[in-house]
Amino acid sequence: MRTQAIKFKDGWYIKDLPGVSDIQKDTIMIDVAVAEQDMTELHYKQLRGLAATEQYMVKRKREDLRETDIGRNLEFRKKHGIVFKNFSEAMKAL
Amino acid sequence: MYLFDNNFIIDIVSKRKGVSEYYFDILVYCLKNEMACIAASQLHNLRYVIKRNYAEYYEEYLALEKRLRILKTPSCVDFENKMAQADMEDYLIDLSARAVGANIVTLDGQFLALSDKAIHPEEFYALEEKADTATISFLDIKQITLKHLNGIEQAFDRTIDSGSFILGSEVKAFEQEFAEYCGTRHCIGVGNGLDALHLILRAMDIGEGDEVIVPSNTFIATWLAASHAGATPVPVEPDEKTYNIDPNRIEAAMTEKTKAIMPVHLYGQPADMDPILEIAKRYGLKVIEDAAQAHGARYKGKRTGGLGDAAGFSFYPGKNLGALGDGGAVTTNDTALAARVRQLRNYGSKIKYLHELKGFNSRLDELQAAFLREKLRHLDEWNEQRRSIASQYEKLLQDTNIGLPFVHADTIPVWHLYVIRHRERDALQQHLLHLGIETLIHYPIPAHKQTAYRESTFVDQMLLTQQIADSILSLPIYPGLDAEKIEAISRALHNYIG
Repeated sequence: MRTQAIKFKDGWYIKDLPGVSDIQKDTIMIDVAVAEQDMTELHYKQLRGLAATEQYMVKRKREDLRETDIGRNLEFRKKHGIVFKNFSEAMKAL
Repeated sequence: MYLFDNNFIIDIVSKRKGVSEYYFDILVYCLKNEMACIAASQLHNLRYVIKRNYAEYYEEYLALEKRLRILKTPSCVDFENKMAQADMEDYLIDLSARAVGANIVTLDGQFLALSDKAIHPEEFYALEEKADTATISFLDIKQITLKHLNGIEQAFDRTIDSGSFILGSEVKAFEQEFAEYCGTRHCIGVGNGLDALHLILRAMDIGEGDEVIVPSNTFIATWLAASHAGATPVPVEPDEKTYNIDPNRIEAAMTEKTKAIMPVHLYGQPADMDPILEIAKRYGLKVIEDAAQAHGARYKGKRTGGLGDAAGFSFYPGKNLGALGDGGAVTTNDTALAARVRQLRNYGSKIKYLHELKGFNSRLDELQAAFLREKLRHLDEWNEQRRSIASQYEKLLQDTNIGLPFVHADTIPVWHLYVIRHRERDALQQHLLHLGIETLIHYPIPAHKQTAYRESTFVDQMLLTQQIADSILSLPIYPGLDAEKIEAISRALHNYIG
């Protein structure tokens, strides 16, 4: 499998690891391949990109996940003619 | 308006399980209703995160970005602010939302705790439902202004950058553009609509001992212009169908003191100008259009502003072309008259500190001129929207006992107001108010019955004007008033008449 790892102050975050919910252990073994250009000092803009991603993850950790009323959502969609299955479909139609 | 936090946008675009499937409808709904915003400060981080981590959705994000309203990031940063110290990115988003009164949709618990502008997506639905059943306001200037905020911000920045705040390049450019729009040789920006009419009369040397024919059915400014010039306003009753001055009654009101006729293009419909111009020509009178409510309206194909000797426009914020404060203009094809108005508006001076006339200080503000230039670009589109609303009202209210506006065959109105008539007007207005629909009366007390004109000898005359004042009601009409609201208003009217 292949995925991305993002560096934080206190370690690396591995995002979207396929099948992650099925893994029973807290520790897994991975092989790391670092490209040559990533070993050199990062350009400011690349660093900013990493910081932006880090901020995204920080905010995710602060999430307030409340219970969703699916019935209410469906009613809202019906009332306002939102017939799309997902956002991509909506973007194509809008 | 709703401003979306970075994570919310990223989650929706990247189809994050849970968040996207539950809440993508919020973003879609806001896009459909042109209420979806992000702050300029969010742009680079959104692009970075999506490009780096969700490259497969990057094109879709860019398409979304084009449809979002981009709000400015204010420069009034308070580094001591609790939120600024906790999370500068969120703080800047919060500042942007505050600048336009938007709510911020976010799942971020810290954001929700620190900002009273932040709402959880779960709260969005209830908030919109409440807005759905809220009052239908008579006019929503804020919404019209916010829709064109980018251009208005640019106009503001341009003016500040110019460093010229009185009769600078913005006033000059607006005068050229508005003259071109009206099809006249000259436009002179002045302080307001009343001053526009007043300065025209002064420039024409109409004053003490003179009489000016004015409509009895009009806003008091038309009368005041004559009074301020020192002349006497002489009212003439309206045509009962169009509510505009009845040309057939003008001659009966004239005396040897009459110097001018001042027809008003009331509610956005041009007065019947040909017979008025014919009378004026026969008696050597001036014709001054009061075009305060008729920016862009046409009479026999020609735009108002160039139909008589001169015209006065108002740019009061609620007008079809409204400033963000007071403003007015004079349009004319008469070069000598234009020069005199120009002089009169500026202390009677052509050259600084040389005053040939006892003039006034009534100059169109530089900043307002910059805003008006931006808004003028949209005037035809807005007038078209007003025409569409008027035609929807007409369709929905025909075959009722409500008196609907009559459109003279020679005119293309711009529907500054949509005025209906009903014999139980007051009760009807109350009924609508109970249903959350705001209406107004234009105008409840005719000028000749106002205390300001207590010396008027017309108090017991002008019966038609009084009948009109007692039975008219103006319904909401403005760009952005959607079909749903028009239907709701029409339904409420049908409910009343049964």
